[in-house]
Amino acid sequence: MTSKISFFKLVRDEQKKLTWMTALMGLVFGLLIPFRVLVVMALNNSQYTGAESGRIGSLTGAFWNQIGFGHFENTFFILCAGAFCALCAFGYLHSPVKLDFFHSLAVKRETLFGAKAIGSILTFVIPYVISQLLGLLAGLPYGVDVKTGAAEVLAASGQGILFFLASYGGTLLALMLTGKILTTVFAAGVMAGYIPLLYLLIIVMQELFLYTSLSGEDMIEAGILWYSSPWAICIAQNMGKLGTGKEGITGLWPEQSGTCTILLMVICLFLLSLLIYRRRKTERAGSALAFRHTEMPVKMALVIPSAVTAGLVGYEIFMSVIWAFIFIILFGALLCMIIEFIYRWDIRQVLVHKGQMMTAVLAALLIFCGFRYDLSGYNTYLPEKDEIASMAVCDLDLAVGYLEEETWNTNTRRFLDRLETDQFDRIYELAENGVENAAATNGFGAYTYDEYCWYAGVKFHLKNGKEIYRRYYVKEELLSECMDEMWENEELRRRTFPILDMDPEKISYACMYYNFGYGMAETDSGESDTWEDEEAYAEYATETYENNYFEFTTRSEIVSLLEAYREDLAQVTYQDCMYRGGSVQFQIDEKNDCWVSYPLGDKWTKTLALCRKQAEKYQITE
Amino acid sequence: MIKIEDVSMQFDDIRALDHVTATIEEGSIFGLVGTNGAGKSTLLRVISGVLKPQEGSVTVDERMVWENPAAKERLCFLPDTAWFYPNATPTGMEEYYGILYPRFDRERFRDMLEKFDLDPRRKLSTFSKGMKKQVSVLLGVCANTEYLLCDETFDGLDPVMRQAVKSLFASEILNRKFTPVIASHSLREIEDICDHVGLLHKGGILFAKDMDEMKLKIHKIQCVIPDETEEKSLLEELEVLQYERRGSLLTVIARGNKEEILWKVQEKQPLFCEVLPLTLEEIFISETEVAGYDIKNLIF
Repeated sequence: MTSKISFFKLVRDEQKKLTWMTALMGLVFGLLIPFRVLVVMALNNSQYTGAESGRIGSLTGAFWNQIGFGHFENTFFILCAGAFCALCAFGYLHSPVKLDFFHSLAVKRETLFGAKAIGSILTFVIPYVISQLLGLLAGLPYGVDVKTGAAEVLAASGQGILFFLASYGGTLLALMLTGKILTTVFAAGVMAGYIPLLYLLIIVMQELFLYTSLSGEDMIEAGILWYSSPWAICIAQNMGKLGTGKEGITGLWPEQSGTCTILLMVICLFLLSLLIYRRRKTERAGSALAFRHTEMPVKMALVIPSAVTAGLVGYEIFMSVIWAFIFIILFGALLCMIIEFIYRWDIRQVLVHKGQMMTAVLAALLIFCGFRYDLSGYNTYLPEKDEIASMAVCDLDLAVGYLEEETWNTNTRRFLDRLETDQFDRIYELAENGVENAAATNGFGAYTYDEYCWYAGVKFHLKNGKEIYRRYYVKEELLSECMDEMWENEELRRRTFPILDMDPEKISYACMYYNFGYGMAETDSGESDTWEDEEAYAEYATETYENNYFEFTTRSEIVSLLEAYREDLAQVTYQDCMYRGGSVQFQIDEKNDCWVSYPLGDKWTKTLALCRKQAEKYQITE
Repeated sequence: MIKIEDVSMQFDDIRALDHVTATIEEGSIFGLVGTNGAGKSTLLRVISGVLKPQEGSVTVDERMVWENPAAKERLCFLPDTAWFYPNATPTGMEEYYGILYPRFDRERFRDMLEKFDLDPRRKLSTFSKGMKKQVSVLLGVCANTEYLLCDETFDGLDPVMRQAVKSLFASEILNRKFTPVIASHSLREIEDICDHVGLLHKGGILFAKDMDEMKLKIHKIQCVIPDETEEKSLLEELEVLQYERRGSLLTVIARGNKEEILWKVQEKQPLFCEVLPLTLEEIFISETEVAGYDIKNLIF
């Protein structure tokens, strides 16, 4: 049976009780949007010095920059507002006195949840939308045709509300899972930072101990950072994901998929919170966590990675495994005690779960040792030759990347995927050498290896479909032979250097740097690093750089450079690429300002000739 | 009727309610007594639907209470610490209760405020503890629910106000279907108002009985019997719950019919004999001693 209490009256009453918050939001967003727009417009108007006919155009430009999408400060305040509103509306969950009142009312928990949520959300939505509207109207006195940007401002308002809901939902979930305001704040912090920090820890551990690991996508590329929390996803959306940093009325609308993801996440957060609310015991108000059985998993999830991090710090400071162990034990135990104190709020009970403390510390030690001593045999793993279907190799120092749907992809793993070959005898030899070196270094990477070596990326594609990527420190000679053999295959050379097939139209700009006077300056004045007069050296360095730097801006210049470079690149050996004297840079993805750098050496005769021609054209002497 | 059946609640390692079974009839004033920590507040929270019983069930007029608005709308719970929203005034709370309790009698509330000499426009945060209690009780009474669950309601009220609240409850019972359930740690506080009493101890209800029924069945007699043998024989003949001798004055609390007990005493040719009124404390002492408990250690 439904309650006779009117839901709408409850919502209205909730709103009434939060009038102070509506006023606060009005003040914040009023200052942030319409007031800021007015100030900027007034300044632009007073400082305009151009022709009168261009005034409105100039003011319109300034106006469109101030409203619409992408303002980070707006997003920041919106996210704060979301968290704040949730805390104010559902703070009663942490007070036994308030719960006695609210939970004895003749309403179901979902009704109460809905009324509280809607009432508090409106305290933001109303002043925010009004502020956006006033911001838009602020352009009218300056003659701006506001109609043209109205739709984008409306969409930006919708996006702002969505961000607010995401932050609100995240905080609400933290509130539902905890029983105290202090632990709610901790929980929200953990929700926001746990995944990125854990990922970072794994990366650092890999870099330090699994030195044959070939890092794939970084946190941003993999989307881990962007999708790690409700707040991160909003910031990602705000920054246009690719960091274009464009603001205002841009014509660049947020990706539909991103918006739908946030919407879906908001729905999930609210549903999950409601579900937890229905199951949440009233008597847990005032306890650290709302569900007693979550205490241990939460403690373990926090203590183990933190203790491993502490161990890494100890290891890095003292370069000693013993110190790493000491740090793990001390920090693990200390953190366990701190968490236990937060749970019980009683200093006498910090050692109440010694077993859990020992388990956490042991787990952290095991994880640290697992990485440090490569217990899984990661660094020395080499599949049997007959297990392999194909292999790929690349020099990690050369340009790594390829064009994928208008975007330049620099993911090494994906790049290696393109270079697979079933003629892999030499690559396997190279891998064997890499494994030998890895085993010889005994946990210290390549630093103790004396022979001249080079980093190579290797991929094993096993017959069972498994794909394994490694980064080996290999003998230069072996790598050179291997690469040259691979480049004998025209197709693989083209895949290594996608520029060979690239449409010149895709390249918007090119420049190159080549030190024609390589060695001269140094012989004139001794070694460059022995310059005593720093100012003179700086002048020399700038001059040298300027004299050896060439730009190709027109379409015909770019096409000529590309043709010359392709011809040269098609016949150079790997050795030529290794010992190069300069580089050519192509701007490929103009929208995202993406540049790719290719090698340039004295074997690139046609390119260098073009370079000289360019130098004469702009009267630059060598 | 509120039916509590085999209700158990445990908070971490503490057993707050241990298989409590009781029935609260309509139209009576039910007193729930017990020491601090006996489980009174927990039981009231379970009855009002604030807490979900881990075992057992609570029904109000045959409707399960937990998450059931139809049952909960018959109840109003006044916890020991009343909550008023920030900056609330009695008038503001009146409006709020008007939304939360659709049958809330605003006019009566205003009248009551006047009678209790409470300023309707003054902020409740400036009220004394007792004044807040008064407002809370008035809100609860004017909510017009069938059951009013009061947790330590008289705690903090001065004797005059206590009497005023008692008469308010009495008049409500006369005028409408109204059943207050009053939890208190003090028997003296509720003995002149309750007609049913439940004694809660260590999470379990020792008994719940009608006061009049208890009073009719137990009697306190003071007498002086010169012959010691006769006195001994009297104590054997009566169903004695408790007796005490001070000099030659014998005080006996015995179960049974008043006339029958008096006749048996008269048979022993006493020098003096009279029946004294029993206090609630004495009834409880007797009843709980029979149940195997020493109530002096439980309550006083």
